[in-house]
Amino acid sequence: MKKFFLNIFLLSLTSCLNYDIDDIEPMFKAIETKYMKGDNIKWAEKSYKDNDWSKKELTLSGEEIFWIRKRVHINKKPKSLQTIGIEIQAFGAYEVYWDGQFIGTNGYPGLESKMPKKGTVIATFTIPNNLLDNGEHILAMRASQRFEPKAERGVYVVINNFEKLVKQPLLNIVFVHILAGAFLAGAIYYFLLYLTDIKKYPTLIFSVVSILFFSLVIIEYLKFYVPIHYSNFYLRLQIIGFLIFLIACLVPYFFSLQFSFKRNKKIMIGYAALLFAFFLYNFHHYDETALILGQTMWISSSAIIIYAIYKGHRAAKVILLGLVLSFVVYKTAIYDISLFASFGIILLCMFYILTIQLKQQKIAFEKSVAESIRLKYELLKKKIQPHFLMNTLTSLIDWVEESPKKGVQFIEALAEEFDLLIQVENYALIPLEQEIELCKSHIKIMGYRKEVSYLWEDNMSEFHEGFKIPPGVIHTLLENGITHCKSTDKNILRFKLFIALKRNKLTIEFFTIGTVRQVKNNGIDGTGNKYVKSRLRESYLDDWSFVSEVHPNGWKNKIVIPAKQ
Amino acid sequence: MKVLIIEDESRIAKRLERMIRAFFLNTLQTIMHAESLDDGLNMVQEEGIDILLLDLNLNGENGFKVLEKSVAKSFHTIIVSANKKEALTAFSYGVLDFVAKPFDKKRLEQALNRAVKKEEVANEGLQLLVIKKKGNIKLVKIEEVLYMQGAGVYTELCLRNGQKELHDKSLEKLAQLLPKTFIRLHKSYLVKISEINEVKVNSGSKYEAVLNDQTILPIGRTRYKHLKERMH
Repeated sequence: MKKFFLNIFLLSLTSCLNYDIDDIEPMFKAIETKYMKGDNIKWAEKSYKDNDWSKKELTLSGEEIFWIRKRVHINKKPKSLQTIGIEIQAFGAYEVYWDGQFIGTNGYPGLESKMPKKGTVIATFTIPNNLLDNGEHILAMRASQRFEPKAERGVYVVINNFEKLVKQPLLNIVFVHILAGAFLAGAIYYFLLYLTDIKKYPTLIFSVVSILFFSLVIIEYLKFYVPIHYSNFYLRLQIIGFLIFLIACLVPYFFSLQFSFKRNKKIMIGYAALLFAFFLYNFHHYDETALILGQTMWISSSAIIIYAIYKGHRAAKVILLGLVLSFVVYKTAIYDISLFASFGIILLCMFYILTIQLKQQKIAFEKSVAESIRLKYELLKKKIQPHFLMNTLTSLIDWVEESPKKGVQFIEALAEEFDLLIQVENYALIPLEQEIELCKSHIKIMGYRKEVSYLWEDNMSEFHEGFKIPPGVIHTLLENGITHCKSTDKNILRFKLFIALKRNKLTIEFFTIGTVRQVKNNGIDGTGNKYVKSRLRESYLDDWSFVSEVHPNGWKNKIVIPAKQ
Repeated sequence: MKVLIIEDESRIAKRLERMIRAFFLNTLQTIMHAESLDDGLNMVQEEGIDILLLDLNLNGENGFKVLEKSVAKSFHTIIVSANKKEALTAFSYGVLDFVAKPFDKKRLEQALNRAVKKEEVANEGLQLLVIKKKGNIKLVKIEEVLYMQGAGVYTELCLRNGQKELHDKSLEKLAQLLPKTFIRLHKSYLVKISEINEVKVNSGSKYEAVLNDQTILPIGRTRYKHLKERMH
């Protein structure tokens, strides 16, 4: 639902932006443009006959002066106190004449190498009202184009209310910059999140894509408020192209990571190579490159999302909706706007996924906290559950009645076990030695209860380093061993613990040597094994293995975990 | 008296044995001990027993299944368990008593007395009668039972649906376990009071009870007075 409102907001934003120079009721009409090399002040005159001038842009060699004459038809004479302006988009340094009258300069034609670099791509001048009668007029420009002599760029003009000419682009900028600002904030937030908390690539990629998108918007609209010398014009377009290339690489990569696309890396490298090929092939067709890259990004993202929907990812459906919407916006709005609006929507889609993920992580975290608490109580419960406690107390009463001295020893053993339990209850990992102590104290108690000689063996003396394991794990296996196995004829039940360290993995093998009782619930995990597995999952996620099975000499358990010291 | 103890805690089994020996003295014929129900029941087949003392939490065995198996037998079952929560279930299955651990001599003797003195304890918790049929366990709800007829060492249960089932316990033993809604009419009959429609007095002081389904059961001369009291 939130997403829906965001989209509505973005749509309304784009409709505000849906302003175009051509949409303004035109007060003029540009008829034709002619060019001529050489220099003559008379060429500025309205009455000059330019029949022999070239209609094509000239190819220049250096700093030579050339003239441009553009015939313009004024449809509607302005009101007397209106200030009318002319916005010229052209390459070069030039002086401007309107019907022979000098109205301003943009740089120093013919002196470009000697004078400071001046000559912006866009320049605005005012035209005296008395020269704006209905009918034809001549815009003449005395120009030189030292820095881009080979660039055959035309001359584009807009004549309008001067205030409108200056203000309208700024209104455009305001809205687009609000959008850019939002993504800047997003970029910073997610970057910090990546640094401090969620160290996952998608978070970083989202941050990078947001900052790229922000840069793209800023650089695209920079021309309206920063004077750009015509020699830097292509540089700006190259930067824009490069930014779009990076975005087009990263967005599908982000989706593929999020929806765990198979053979991710190979496909993504191939995809990036394809994009790069487009990028190079179309290098000087800046707008086309941007469109092709954008389209490729859209198609590959959609393919990933459709695959994700096929695989049953619920969030993917919303993303597909967003992609379709971005396509509609792209198709219905004009170039600048369409690109940004559709990119914006795709970024919102990415944002949506991250939000969903954050929620899932939060739930998972809460679950893990609850699970840890549950495990702690389960560990404690082992010793207060009636089966252990009441049987122990009954045996204890009997010992006290029969042999008070033994009874005291029994109580001491019980005290020791509770003491050990209290020491470990709050930890997810405890030293292996402590776990063994817990086991030894348990068999002491069970010895008093069952009157079986329980014998313990381990190979701990072979290791000098201390290992850590989750509390109660071997203890649980010991309890299972006592349950699963009968003592031998001599009333002995042996336990053997073997520790092995190999390539940073700790292998714990625990044997109960005795006669296995009839196994009633084969294949179903008892509460003991469930406890062991939950403990292993709590500390090692999926990086562990646990096998518990009948063995020729009794019962065998094998646990492999990462060695933690 | 023949007693079987099924208990996997050696020390507790010894305690039970000592107390039982002290209680029965020379009336005790045999006392046996097993660590699992299967082992114990094997012993029983060789030598019939009168009382079973049973721990419900035996080395990983399902206590519920153990309970079903034992109450279907001819002998009385006394549960000795660490888990008081199981008491209700145990009584609903028809055990004679439930002794919670840790127990003392007095509590155990109380349970043994119930078995020996054949007193009727009026177990209001009894809900099911467990019978063994063709080697399987079958549960009969107590409200389905109209009356019971002694058949030697067995008892025939006559059910609401007209069917009859055979229980391995004698009528005397079942009488000890049943709730107060059942009354002894005759040395061979136990009937649910609510099922008696009419009491007929025939010539020669022969009394008969006519049940709701028109079944006619004899009433023992000595029991008639007691029945009259209970019915009013």
